[in-house]
Amino acid sequence: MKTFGRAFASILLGAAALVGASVHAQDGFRVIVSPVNPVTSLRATELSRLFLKKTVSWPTGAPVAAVDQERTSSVRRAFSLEVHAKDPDAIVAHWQTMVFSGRDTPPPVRTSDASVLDFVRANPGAIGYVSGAADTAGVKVVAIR
Amino acid sequence: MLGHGRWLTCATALAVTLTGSSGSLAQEAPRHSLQGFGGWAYGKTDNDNFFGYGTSPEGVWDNYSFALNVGARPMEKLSIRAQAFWGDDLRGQRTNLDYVFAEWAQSPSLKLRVGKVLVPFGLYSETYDVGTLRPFYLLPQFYAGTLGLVPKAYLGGGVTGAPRLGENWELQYDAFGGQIEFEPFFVDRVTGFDSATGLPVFTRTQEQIVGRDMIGGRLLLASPARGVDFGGSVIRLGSVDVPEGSPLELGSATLYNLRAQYQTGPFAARGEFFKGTSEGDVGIESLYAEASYRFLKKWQVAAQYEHSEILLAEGDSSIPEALTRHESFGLALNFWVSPEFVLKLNGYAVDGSMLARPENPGLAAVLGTIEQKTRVLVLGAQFSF
Repeated sequence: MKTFGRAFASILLGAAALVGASVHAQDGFRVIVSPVNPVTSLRATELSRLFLKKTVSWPTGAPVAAVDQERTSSVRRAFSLEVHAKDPDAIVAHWQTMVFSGRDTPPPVRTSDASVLDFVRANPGAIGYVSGAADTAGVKVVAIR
Repeated sequence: MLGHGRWLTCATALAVTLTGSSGSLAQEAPRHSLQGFGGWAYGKTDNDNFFGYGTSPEGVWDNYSFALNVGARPMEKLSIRAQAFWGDDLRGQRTNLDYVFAEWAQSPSLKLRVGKVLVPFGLYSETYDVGTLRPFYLLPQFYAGTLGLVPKAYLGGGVTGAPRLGENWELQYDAFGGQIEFEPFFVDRVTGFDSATGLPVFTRTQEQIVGRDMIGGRLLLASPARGVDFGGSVIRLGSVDVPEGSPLELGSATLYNLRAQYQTGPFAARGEFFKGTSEGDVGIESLYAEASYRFLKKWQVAAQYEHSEILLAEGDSSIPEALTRHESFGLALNFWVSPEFVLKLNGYAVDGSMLARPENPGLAAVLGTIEQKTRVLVLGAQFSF
């Protein structure tokens, strides 16, 4: 009985730790990658660099293919404030500077969670974000630490 | 050089081809990209002076611009970028290939660029005409005023990159060389004397300075996460070609720029110092500072101070003293419909005739009739996509 109780407590503590690692992500969005991507968690600063195309390859050497959602979507707003610590309009201004100075182009934009999921499933190096309620079958959810 | 009509035809054909082949380009994998920007403004001064190329005593309605920016990525590390520009203002209708270059991106820290490349000099030189990236419709006047000092692009090659410095900082660098064509500007020269009055007769011509044997560099320390960057640029011109008959004797010349900017939430501030020196003892100094604040999500107020001065060698009277100094205070009230579309109401109080000058500034300076204080109104809209 005591053994069962200790085991159950361990399971609860482990589950609580996992929830704590990604609870702020699940509040508004979840970051997803291809199931073949070995990454399981990322710091917010690392995530920001991926979506600002300042980091262009994964540790495996595979090219990163980030995908954004529409500027006016609530999931993008949640992602932008959490990861970039800026609202989407400021990120749009950043990309305007990059585009018109000939230095880079923004990640492609998808108009729905479903199209983001399709993109990530089809691209081994892809990374995107979807709303907390999205069905993430076929992709891997990455924790933000 | 292609004529205006042929540039328009080529750019339109390219735009149609890219649009047709890639659907909604902003939403597809980035093998091709098509963006653009433009704007229109009405500008008026409150006296006989003109300010910049878009304001006049009568009011200027023909002040608009449009640009198409295209990019292609034929290989993972190779990209081609070009920008075509059309504009109309007091200089007349203009078309130009702002830049066209190829870039090989070995890594984010090392990229090679060759062609007609944007000049990495100053805060706005690489986004010269993109009005959605600044609070005022007009650029600070040392960029694009009647002296047209800061060029848009150079012809040659360079390297650029942004290696990381720790968790939150990066060092942005540029090194480049080649030749620079400065923006065209107007010069009023004495071409004779009126036999009846004995007064000098001035003739205005459009000129362009070309800097040859050019090398330059830029170093910036930036923290995108903190919204701050600061640094400087320098461009050395081994020789400067001036227009035939010009009284300018520049020899070699060096341009310096220091800049800093900070953005946090709704607040942004930036400032620059610019200095040009030449072997011929003609120089120029300019500085500006501006701050802006967004409120109620879409409204923005901004203020700007600018000071510029032409420096002549002792005893040099080729440019009347009244035309060598500029100071202005600007206020802006803007409404951002979206990050891509903004309505701007800007006003300036200008002191000095270096940049706010009448139809015939040379004669007015000789006669002492130049009005030193000018108020300017600019009302317009700018967009990007």
